Amino acid sequence: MNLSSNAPPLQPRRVVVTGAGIVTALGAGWAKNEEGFRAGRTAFRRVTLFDVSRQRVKMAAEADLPERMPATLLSPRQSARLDRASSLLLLASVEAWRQAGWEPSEEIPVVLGTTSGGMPLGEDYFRQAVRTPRLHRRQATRAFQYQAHSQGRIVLDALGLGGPATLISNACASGACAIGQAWEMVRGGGAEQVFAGGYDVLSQLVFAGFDALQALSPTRCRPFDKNRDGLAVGEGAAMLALETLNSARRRGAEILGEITGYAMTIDRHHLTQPHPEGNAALAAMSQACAAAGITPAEIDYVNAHGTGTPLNDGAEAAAINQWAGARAATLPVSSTKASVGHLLGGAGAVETVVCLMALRGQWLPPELALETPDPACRFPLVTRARDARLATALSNSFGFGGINATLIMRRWE
Amino acid sequence: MEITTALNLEIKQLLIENLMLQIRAEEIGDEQPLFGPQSIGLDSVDALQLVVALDKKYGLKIQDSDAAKQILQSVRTIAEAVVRHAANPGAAL
Amino acid sequence: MSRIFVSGYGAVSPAGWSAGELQRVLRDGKSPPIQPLDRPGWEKPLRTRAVPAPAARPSFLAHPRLRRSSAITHYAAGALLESLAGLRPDSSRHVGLIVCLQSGCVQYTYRFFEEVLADPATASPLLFPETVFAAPASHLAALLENTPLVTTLIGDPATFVQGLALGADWLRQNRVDIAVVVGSEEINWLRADALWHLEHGAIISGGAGAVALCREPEWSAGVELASVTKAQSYSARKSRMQAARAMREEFRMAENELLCDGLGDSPRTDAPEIAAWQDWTGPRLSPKTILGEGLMAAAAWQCVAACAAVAEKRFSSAIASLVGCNQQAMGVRFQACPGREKSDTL
Repeated sequence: MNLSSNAPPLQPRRVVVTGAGIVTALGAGWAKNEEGFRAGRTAFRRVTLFDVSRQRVKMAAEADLPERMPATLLSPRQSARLDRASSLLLLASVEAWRQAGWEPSEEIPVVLGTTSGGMPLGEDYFRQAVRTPRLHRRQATRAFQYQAHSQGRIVLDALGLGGPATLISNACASGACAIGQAWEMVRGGGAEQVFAGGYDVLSQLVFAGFDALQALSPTRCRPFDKNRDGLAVGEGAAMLALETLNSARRRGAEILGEITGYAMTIDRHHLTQPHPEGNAALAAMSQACAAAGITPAEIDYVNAHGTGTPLNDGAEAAAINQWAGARAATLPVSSTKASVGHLLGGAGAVETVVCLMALRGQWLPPELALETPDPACRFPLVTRARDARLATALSNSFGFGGINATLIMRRWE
Repeated sequence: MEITTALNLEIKQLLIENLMLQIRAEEIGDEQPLFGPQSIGLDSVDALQLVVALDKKYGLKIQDSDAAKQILQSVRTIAEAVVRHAANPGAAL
Repeated sequence: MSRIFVSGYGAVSPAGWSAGELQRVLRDGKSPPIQPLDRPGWEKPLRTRAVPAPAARPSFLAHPRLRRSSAITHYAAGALLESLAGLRPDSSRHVGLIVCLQSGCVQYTYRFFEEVLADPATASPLLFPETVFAAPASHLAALLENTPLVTTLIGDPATFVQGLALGADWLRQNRVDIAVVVGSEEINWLRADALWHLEHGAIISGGAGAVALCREPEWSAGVELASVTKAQSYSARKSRMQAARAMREEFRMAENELLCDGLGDSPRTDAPEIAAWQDWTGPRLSPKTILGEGLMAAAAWQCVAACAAVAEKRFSSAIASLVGCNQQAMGVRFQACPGREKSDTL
């Protein structure tokens, strides 16, 4: 029985993106982010959201929330009680929704990726439960809103959707897996339109967790640099409106790009470290190409997972070298985590939008922080902002716990 | 303070408790490597945990990974570092 | 739509470390004892039903990957391995793994954050990776030989049925030979405190349940996944009451059918589900009134109890009704079909 873990459905339908929303430390919205990524700007600052005075590292890519949130169908009570996670997710959702021009509906499923949902509310819950055990004010609300499906509910009610909402938590691959699962639903005929993406907010627990593992860079996040010394954490969200090509044409919608391939594989090596040869990463890239019906030679740009840790970048470089083969020497690669940090559950979604930006605008996102490329990289790293003819881009997202996801996108002519 | 079986045992219990090892103290040899082949199979996350545990229990501040590689080889090398630190707490490791 | 069958099931609960123990306690209707759970700062303890220590230490706990994992992974591993008991270890079958959680790894999350607030410089690095929602699935994948697809879904208890639907899709798309859906939860006082704030009457419990699905009728345990309802999401368009009713209405009446509902110890929380099934006159089982509020684990116990009722030929079909606390309502029906002999292995 020939069984590929990503066997295509019988007559796969083409899946296009007709709406995209993004918020990162570079700002809110496609335009601001495109300008920042294109210039290779970095957006790190000392964390203000919680106390980092006793942390080894103090910097992160912290976003700024706008004064006023965009108008939505949320009730005044819902709008007044928006927590940070819901606000970031809502910003990206409203932008993508308006661009897609979709209508409120019972038939549009939502798929979201996150690692820590409303974690800051959980931390508030913890502090009050421990410090003032008999004070119950707002604890029930926090216990409800802290859970990820509460942020999902905000997206449903803000846009007039009936759901369902599926929440995927596959560590740092969550955002890519959410978009991948949505792509499979549309491609396989499960739905005409699906709203998908990922998000995560900065939280003291997660920030302190990466710092305790000495995974945070004490200097600068320099993915694929010979002297790289760790990752930087960021926050934000990105959402995509995915639909069948027929639906988009029927509506006369503007198409931002096409998703042509996706694959997810498992690395059983270790909870926190990838297998040194990166064979699960290699399998993810190969299977995604198979699903898209193309070879590595036809990829024009790789947006690497590229966290900036010695282990990830080493394993990913080995995987890219082997997967790309002869193409490696001329295949531009960069990690936009050098600009906005690692958004964890949001990373896969944000980096998918970056690829769509690059394909539409015909430019390569540079990593200016890179000084000496790691000799293990047999591919050119994009170190200065430049235009380029791009038709197909590949985005990698590899997670703690070994979930590897790869998405492939094509420019829409 | 010098290296005694009591100190070695105390360090073994620290290993078991902090690293959630499923073995008894007497199953860990004083000289047995903690990492790598024929060792008790610890990894880099265990190493980081050990650094924190030794700081909490003995005030031993292991600053960088090279020092950690030397000190965390076996129960005996840890005991030696604890004794050295007890002798002159200020000295860098 | 090609048919999907149940090849096995497993459970770890306050009744013990097997689906058999779960069945025995549910049939006797005798609740395992309620134990006090100290709540710092309160005189009155919270109430819980805990998973008893296993009679003998399960062999899978010796796996190096489980050394640093917390109870939620141990429970999930127990249920998972029981549900795959018919699968030979050397089998070349591709297994898809879907782990469903609501609270998740609360034990280490609590301990780690407590240490961070005390002093970030000495917060235990070993605890943090185990606080991540994806940790249990990562460990379970390491226990099995061949898991090309693994994912973790989070949400309220109805998410377990979303997992069953996703597993069925993977099987229909020929991406795996067996799809196992595991629901698991662990207890600590902070999670019990949060539940108390949402449902004062609830008695918190922990454990896990697993249902293994397959395509080949000859591997079935005498149970078929007959139907899964739409996921009825709560939103501004549909209240929890309306969603529960809409879910119930997807099930036509059937003869000799058992209803495994999600009623527990909180009438206010259970009101929509009570209303939705008001017209049910057939036999009925409410595992949570016996085992406590296990959230995603309780959802799994309801499905395992429904599967067992059919597999043991006590009923020709059984429904598990999941009216989740704050996300969605979803139901699933299992029905009888010819099963493989107990001794056959896959």
